[in-house]
Amino acid sequence: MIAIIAALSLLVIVSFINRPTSSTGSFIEGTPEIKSISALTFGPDGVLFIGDSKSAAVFAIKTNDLALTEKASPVDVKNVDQKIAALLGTEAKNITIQDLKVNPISKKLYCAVQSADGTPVLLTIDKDNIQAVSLKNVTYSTITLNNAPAEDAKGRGGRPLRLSSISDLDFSNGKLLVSGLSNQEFRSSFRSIPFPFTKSQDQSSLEIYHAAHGRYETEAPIETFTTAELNGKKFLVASYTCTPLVLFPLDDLKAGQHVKGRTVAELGSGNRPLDMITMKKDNDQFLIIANSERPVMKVKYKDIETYQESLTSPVKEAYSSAGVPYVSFPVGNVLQLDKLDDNQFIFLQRRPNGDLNIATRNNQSL
Amino acid sequence: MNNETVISLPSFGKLIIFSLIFLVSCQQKKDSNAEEILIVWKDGRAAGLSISKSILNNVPADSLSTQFQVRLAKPGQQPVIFGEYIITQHEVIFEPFIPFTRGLSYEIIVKHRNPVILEIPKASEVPELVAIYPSNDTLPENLLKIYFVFSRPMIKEHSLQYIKLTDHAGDSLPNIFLNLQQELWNEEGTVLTLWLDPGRIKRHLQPNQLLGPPLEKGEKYKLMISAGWPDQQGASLVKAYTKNIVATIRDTSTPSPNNWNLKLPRAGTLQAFELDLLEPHDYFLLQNTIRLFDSDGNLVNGTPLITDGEKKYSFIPAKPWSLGKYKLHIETRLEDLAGNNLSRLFDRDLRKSETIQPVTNIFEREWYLTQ
Repeated sequence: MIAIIAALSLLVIVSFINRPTSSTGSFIEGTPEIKSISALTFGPDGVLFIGDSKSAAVFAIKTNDLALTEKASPVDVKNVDQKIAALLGTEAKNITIQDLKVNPISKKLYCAVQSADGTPVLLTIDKDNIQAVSLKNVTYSTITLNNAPAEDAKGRGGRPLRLSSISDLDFSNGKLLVSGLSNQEFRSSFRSIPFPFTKSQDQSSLEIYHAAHGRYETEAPIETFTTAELNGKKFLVASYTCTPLVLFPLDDLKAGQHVKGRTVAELGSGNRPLDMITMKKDNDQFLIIANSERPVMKVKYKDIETYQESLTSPVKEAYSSAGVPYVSFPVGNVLQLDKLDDNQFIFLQRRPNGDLNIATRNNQSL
Repeated sequence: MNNETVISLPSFGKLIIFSLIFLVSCQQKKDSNAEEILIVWKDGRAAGLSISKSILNNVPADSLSTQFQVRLAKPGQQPVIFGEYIITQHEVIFEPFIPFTRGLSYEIIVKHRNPVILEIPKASEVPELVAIYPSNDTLPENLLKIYFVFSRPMIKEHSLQYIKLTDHAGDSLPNIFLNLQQELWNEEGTVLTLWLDPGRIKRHLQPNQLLGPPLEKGEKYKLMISAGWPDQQGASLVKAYTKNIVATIRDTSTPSPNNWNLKLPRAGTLQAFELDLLEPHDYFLLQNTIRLFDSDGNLVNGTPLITDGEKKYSFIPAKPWSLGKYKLHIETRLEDLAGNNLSRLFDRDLRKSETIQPVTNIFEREWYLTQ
């Protein structure tokens, strides 16, 4: 009898140990083989997702950077590329800032840098203090993207889809969203991956289409995106490689689905959104957009909510806009944006004199 | 004064620690600080600096960052370079987070003695632009992408500084290429994919309506690649390159493998199996999307060869052909030059009968070797 109780106890203990908790999942201790850092985003509990295009993988790293900060100190770093280059022992022309993301808990800024030879480096920027983040001996979990065939490909014995470049990452509703561009075929590669990652790679790969003026339907890759709640429903707000803002209901993004988007804004041709964030001011939510050829814009989500149609008629005047209205900030050449806290956002800006600065702006300016 | 010794290029793929190589600048006194400082080479990169452990033998590991410091040697106050210290049986190695940059000089201070200035030698090999695809000059006006193939890994995210398209008058044309924040390179960094702006190619999108397509039928262009484009080791393209382009009619049909002409080899030989594709296709997708299987379903190993302006696909088997059935598998993601693949057009007119093909990933075609 005692032996049975002991055996049962052992079973209970074993099953308890083996049961992954929501925070540990498939995490292991060690040094992840990160070959490149293309995009960053934060998940729950200080987990930093690192999109590694070269490995076609996403790494989830426990930063343990969990000291809660409600109100962040503004970040203001002039010539940030030169400062980082000096700390890495090279010149600014030999490095590229790939992404900037704020840890929503500590409000510390994480910065992905790539050297000319492709070596990735992760840094933190706290006020004007730049520190290196060691990725050795960390707690991490990973998911490989190119070994996972799409659901429809699996069923037909298809080969894995190759994701050549991770263009953006976001975490929403317990899922990691990954957009990718291929260096060969022109296709949409958008994945929704439950987190914590599972061994079964329960992910969906979607075909996303949009219609131009209700007549031409095209598949196209997404370059940057964010998520937003509109009229109580979650949406993917995406910028395509060939046209500006398109909305997709997140609930519709299911494996093997052919999801049609709704183009809600043309922000002027010859221009593409580079980064997007959501900021609140009082009772209003705003989409803040950094652009390739235009100043930073703000779009009221209420205007997107009330704009129920899809753009249907061509814009008559060259370089004019259409769809939901927007307001331009007198801030141009912004390459990266992120929310610093509820009232502030940071941006990486190339100044007319060539300087590359990180600055902070208060939401009172919205 | 010059303490430089001869540097041979490191061999690739293995870690090599070089013998003493450094330049001590003229203004530096050569004293006990001029110990052996070795450049640690890894895959052609200056991955670290090594000094004998005996020089630092009394320094505890947690004090190495103050006793063995490396900075950029340039005017103004320079910060200590981020890196890690690795202690081996005989050496202490400083590994910066990114390799030292060829052509730059570094100041090394060991135990607060006089600094040593060390220059990382420049690369001796220069990169070349080996090929541009599509290789033909006459291309559809809805050409979607161009590949640039280099002999060495190139620096990324600066490509559009070195590539331009000019019209027949020699004027540079704006907004032709998609300026992606993250450029599309192969894993080795030797092949760049550049898309012509899809928003200008796709019918009825705003950029297409306002600016027209990037290329227009009947027009002549020059694709110019300027010298000076650096590779990852700091060497640059020595000469400029030009490709002539003549735009022809829009390609609005999907590739049709059913119509491809097959030239069959003879059994027992290593003759090429040839496909006449009727129109040029994507050079890299052709290599990755076509496979042959024998009658037992085994993949036939061999070498694909793309020729005739990407209109001809040849396959030379590793072993002689056998009599019997072979199956040709073509992934439907194979594209022509306009981005039309086997299952869909690049853009589909919903009012016309440009129907989407059934979604399959593999197109199959069988053939038999009877002699």
